[in-house]
Amino acid sequence: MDSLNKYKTAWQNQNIENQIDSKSLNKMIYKSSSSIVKWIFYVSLMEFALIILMNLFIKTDWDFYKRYGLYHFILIVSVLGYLIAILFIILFYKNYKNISANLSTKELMQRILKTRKTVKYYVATTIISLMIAMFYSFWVILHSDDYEYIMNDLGENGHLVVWAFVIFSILFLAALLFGFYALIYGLLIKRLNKNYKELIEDTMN
Amino acid sequence: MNPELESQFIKELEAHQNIIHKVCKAYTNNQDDHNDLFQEITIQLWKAYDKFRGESKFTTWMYRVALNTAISLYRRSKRKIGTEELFPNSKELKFEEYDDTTERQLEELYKAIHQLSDIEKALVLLYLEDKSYKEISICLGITEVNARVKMNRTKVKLKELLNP
Repeated sequence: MDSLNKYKTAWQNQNIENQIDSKSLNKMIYKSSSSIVKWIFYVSLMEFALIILMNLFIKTDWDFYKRYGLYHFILIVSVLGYLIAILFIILFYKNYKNISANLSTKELMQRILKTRKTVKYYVATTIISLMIAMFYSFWVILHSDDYEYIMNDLGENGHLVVWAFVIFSILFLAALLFGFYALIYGLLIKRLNKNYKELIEDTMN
Repeated sequence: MNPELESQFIKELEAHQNIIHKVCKAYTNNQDDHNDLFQEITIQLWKAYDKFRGESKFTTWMYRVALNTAISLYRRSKRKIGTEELFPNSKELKFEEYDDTTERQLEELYKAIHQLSDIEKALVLLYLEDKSYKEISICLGITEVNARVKMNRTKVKLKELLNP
């Protein structure tokens, strides 16, 4: 006889002494959920809002861009940025609406992780395009009449120092944004990721 | 949702609430977390109730939603305020008193379950409820073969924990 059978019998016969009455249960179903999905939803919306606000407030000095011939470039980048944001928000919302505890455990986890991935791609797209836009803008500005003679005076080593500084600054900003992002979601979905890996591990072999 | 559906749901929930208590007891270590997870499972069950088509037994469906909530949705929470009024007897919430042997066995079992991973806990709970491999595979979303492999491994681990 399986040595676990006696435990199974004990398990199946257990009962709770203080049952929760129907009145309390009724109140409970109208309480607000604090599930991880809701948190992911709020944090993701904050991310979208933050990036859109950054676009609104940072790129306002159009005269500066006009002076260096960057007006059209920045305009196209901004419009594209908003279009990308709208596209990702639609995708994100569609994924979010597909999440239900009614699904199988594996499918539920996949859908939550897919929702996260959508926002991850959005953040990555935004950071990479920001890096490209910054690099291109520095390139144009440092080759403009205003700066070209200064750069020429610096000589080859000076040139290298300036470009090393520019690249370091761009990478530092990107690392900071990625680090912040990884910290928030690392904490939020660490357990979910671990459980998902464990659930699918044998199907991969 | 309509009031009839709501009262039908509450009636079923009240009758089968032991399932939720068992899941909560397996996945949490204190009464506050137990109450918190209980509330979250109840909310998720209600949200999913209109999609319950009766293809499986209500209790099997309840297990699925409860385990999904415990494994994937529940965020060990900071919601310490507000659950007390819904659990009037929570300070004394306890399992019925059985004879010594049964009580000791349940104590040993929960102690062992607490040492398992979230996925292993789900497998053990479904095993203890005598669910078939087909039901387990549907609930977890894995193949029956996979469910068997995982279950055998988990049962060995559970036996070792129960009889070190």
